[in-house]
Amino acid sequence: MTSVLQVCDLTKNFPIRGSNDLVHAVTKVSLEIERGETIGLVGESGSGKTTTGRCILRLIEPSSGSIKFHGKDITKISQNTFRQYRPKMQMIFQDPYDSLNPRQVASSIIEEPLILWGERDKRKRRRRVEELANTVKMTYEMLEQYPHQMSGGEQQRVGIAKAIATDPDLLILDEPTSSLDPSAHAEIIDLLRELQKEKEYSYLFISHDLTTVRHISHRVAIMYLSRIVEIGTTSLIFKRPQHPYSRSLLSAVLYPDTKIQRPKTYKLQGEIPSPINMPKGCYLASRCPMAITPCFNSYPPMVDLGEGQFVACFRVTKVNELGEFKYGIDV
Amino acid sequence: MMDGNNNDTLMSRKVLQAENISAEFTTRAGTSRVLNGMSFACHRDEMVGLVGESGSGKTVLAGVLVNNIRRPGRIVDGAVIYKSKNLLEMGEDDLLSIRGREIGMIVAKSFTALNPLVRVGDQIANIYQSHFNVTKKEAEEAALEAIKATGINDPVVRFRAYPHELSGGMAKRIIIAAALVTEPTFVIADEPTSGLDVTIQAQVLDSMMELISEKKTSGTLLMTRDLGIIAQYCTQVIVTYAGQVLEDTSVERFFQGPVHPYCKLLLASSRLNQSVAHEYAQMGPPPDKFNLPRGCLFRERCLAKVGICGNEPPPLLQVDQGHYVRCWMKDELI
Repeated sequence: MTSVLQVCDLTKNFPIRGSNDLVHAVTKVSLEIERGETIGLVGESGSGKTTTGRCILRLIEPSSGSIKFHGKDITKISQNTFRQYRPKMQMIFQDPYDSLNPRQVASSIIEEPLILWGERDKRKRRRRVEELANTVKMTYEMLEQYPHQMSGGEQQRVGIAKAIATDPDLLILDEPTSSLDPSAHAEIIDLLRELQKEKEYSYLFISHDLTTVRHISHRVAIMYLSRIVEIGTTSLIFKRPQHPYSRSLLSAVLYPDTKIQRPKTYKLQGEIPSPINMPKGCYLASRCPMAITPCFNSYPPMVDLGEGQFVACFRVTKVNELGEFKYGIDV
Repeated sequence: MMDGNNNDTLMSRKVLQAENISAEFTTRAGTSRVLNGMSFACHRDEMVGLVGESGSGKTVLAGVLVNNIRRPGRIVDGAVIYKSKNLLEMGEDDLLSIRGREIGMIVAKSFTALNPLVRVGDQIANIYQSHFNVTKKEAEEAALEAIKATGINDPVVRFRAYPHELSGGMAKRIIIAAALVTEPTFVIADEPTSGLDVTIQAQVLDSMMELISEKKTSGTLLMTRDLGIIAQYCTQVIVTYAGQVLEDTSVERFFQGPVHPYCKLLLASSRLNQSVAHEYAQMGPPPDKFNLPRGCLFRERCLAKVGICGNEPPPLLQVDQGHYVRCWMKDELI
């Protein structure tokens, strides 16, 4: 079975005006997404998650690396040729209100991609809009409302309906719930899971909210300073994270349960280095409690730990010296 | 009710008390009732977490607690008792010696709160100087101390920085320093970590809590919509909905299982419990604040409602010592 998406060594640098320096936003990111699979891409702000998502849709042109969609490299083709792939790759944005046209009612917003992709029959479009409204559980009255008349959760339903109007294979979800209230948040996550079960969509779920990522993803990739430092199945990443950065990130999650005691032993030193002058060795070395000389000299390769878990760390066999990781194994 | 002894100790530990606060905003669209008889008390050494979704009145409440509501807002009713004085009846001059001095406020939007044209160190020094009779130099020293205490990197550099030179996490630390520089006895923190990354959030909360406990601040009210923060940092929890308190209890009791139907849903959805999220999705929005329904404000979304809920608004009823619930069906729901 071929993957829906295969990203290999994706790199994106942004030049700085008036200087020869580059901002390294994404460095050699590789990942694959199968049909019906969700990959959670997590990391702090500035780690390159959003840039990765945008490069995959070529909203930003990657600097190097390849992106294969159904086996076809889409980085080598012109934007014009790429247009035929767009209906199959869609994006759902963080702030639903900002991504919806304030002067259009919901039904016209959802109808727009159908017009763009050449459905000329008005009645067929209308039927499809109603079908989509049903799918995302919107009432028909809501279809005639403007975005400002809706709640955040309702707006995001419109954003989802718009994105799935052309029946895509891959959806890139960039923090789709982080601006929503807890109840709306749970509704939207629920809806996304249902849609996936029904239509076998593949999701790249970009988020810094680890509780949600854990809930919705089959696999999780953890990014730090433009690189993926660890990737694996959700249960393994949460049960035995092996990269020191993963441990530090996971130990910062605050679970809504008093019985789960947060470990205080995984703190990193200092601040995240600048993405302009990248260190020669491991990007975490200057903050890592376990760093040894090799860590400062070259970037560690990805090590296969089996069961689909990969980690980029020289000290991976020694990571358990930090103590076993016991936090929030099952909420 | 509680026995006399217990009542006594609780009374003496009471730092700030909100009694039956109602506030409304009048606009062209009509009058929006944002707070509807909100009552609660914060006790000495308690870290009180006030939870509510957006629009539940948290930020307006923060304003009311220091009698700082501007038109078109209006405090309709209620009292805020602090050191046996009602802040809502106090003159503006007396309030100036309380706001920022005795009651510190950590505001939600740090960049909006900071003056973009003034170095952050000077902004904190100005706050200090406006409350204490000190020289500029002494005020600057106090400001630098406060900035250092937040655990920020390179405090001397940050002291001289303008707000736009700071990251979100640094700006939050500056806001915390500004609130704590006067060593207030009571701290109100309104969404102190909204918009921060998890690692920075944990760092900021850890250092905020450390500071508050070191300074012997007598009480803290932390407003948030994140039940994770409540579970990991607070001792008491107050759940608000449509400007009312629905449940008020210890954090431990709450996370064992709250009583109010809304709180049950809130906790379940924060744990991403699927079936509950599904139920919630069917229920529609919270009540229209321009035209509040009769009876219980949660009724329209409630799964446990009975006849009386539509006619009589339930009062905050005691279910146990220190545990109050605004629900007619409380005994059936425990």
